[in-house]
Amino acid sequence: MIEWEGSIDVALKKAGTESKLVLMDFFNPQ
Amino acid sequence: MAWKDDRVIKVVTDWFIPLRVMKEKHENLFKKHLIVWTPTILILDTEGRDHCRFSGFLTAVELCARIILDGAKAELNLGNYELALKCFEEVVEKYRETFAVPEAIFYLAVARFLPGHNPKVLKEGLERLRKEFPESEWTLRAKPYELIK
Repeated sequence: MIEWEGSIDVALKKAGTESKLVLMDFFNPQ
Repeated sequence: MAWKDDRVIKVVTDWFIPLRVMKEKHENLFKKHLIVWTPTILILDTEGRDHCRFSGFLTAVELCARIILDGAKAELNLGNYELALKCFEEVVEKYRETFAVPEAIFYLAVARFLPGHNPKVLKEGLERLRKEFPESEWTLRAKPYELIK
């Protein structure tokens, strides 16, 4: 299961620490 | 749902920090990135710069190939040529049956060209596209490389 981040700030910080890119999934459940 | 497929999970967790942006919670991010249709996938670098995006639903294998390809394009933009090259090769070799392959061959040539500016590799890319994907738009986009001596 993918553990999605919920915050852009946290995702960008983690990406910097782990030398990864951020994959954003824009989703509208309606 | 393709996101629940083990192959997709592995690609995402190996290469990316995944962030799900829900319309009702993050309207500001929808506005900031000009998102008018969902699902839309964006690849950002660590500075928050938007490198690639695509919309719509893909099968698990197509999704794997597309996100590796777009990740590789982002790495190419950032000057990480060796990593980009490795990822483009992975798309071409491991995801041979997907729609992403002609574009991966196009960018594979670009990734080979940029470090040393040897124009021969662009021409080789065009020749490969003509041989393997003669009807692809990526073959058309590479057509000017035929003028390279």
